[in-house]
Amino acid sequence: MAMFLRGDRARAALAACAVGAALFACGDETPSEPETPVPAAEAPAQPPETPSPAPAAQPGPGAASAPAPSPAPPDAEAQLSLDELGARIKATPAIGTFSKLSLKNDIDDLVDDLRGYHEHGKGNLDELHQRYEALVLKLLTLLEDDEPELALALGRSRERIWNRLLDPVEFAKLAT
Amino acid sequence: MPRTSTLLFVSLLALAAGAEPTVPRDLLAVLTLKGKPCGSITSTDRKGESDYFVTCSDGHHYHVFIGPGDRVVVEDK
Repeated sequence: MAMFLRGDRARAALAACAVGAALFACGDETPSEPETPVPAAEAPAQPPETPSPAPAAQPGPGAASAPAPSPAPPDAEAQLSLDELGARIKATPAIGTFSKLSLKNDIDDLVDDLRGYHEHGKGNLDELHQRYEALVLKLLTLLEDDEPELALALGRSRERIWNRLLDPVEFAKLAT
Repeated sequence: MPRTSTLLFVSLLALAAGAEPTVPRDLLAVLTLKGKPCGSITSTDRKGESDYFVTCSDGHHYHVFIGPGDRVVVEDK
């Protein structure tokens, strides 16, 4: 057991690093993070959601103070950067060594195929998108029990991550 | 100073070890990720570092290990 922990600890670190590097490499690029207009554009998109629960709470003016805190958490989660998201997935104990490495393998394969799409026009974008969605679903499944907040944040960010993977400029920043 | 570092290292290792999913749970997650039927894992037999034989409640047996290129390999047995 001790050997497993020692040997797999290193592998876990490797896998976790790779998972973050591959899936969230766009976010790992520190320079790209500040210049992300996408999150900025999404941020305004979120607030409209917050007001809607508030009016729903208005029917009961006496309980107006109670609904106020509930809209706050979604905003906080929505503000998670890709860096934070990647770091939390790397650090989460909810996913074991084999699972992280298996996910890393799938992510590496997907990134390789996306590279082929960007550089040589190879592959079918719909098929790549389906594989990406399947990967995110696998991650969500692994996280939802032990890391529900992280799963929520990932779910909210998955479209943004995909859009960045589709952007040839952002994708080119991926470490090989 | 070295003693402090050792204590810190041991504490962190124990903390990390306790927080991780158990090996059977991790192996079951891998089988699920790979789309392998299993049910639940009834026993695991460790053959080496990151190398396990798994027996499932539905009668399936698998060899799960880390192969070349750091790829997780699942073989039906």
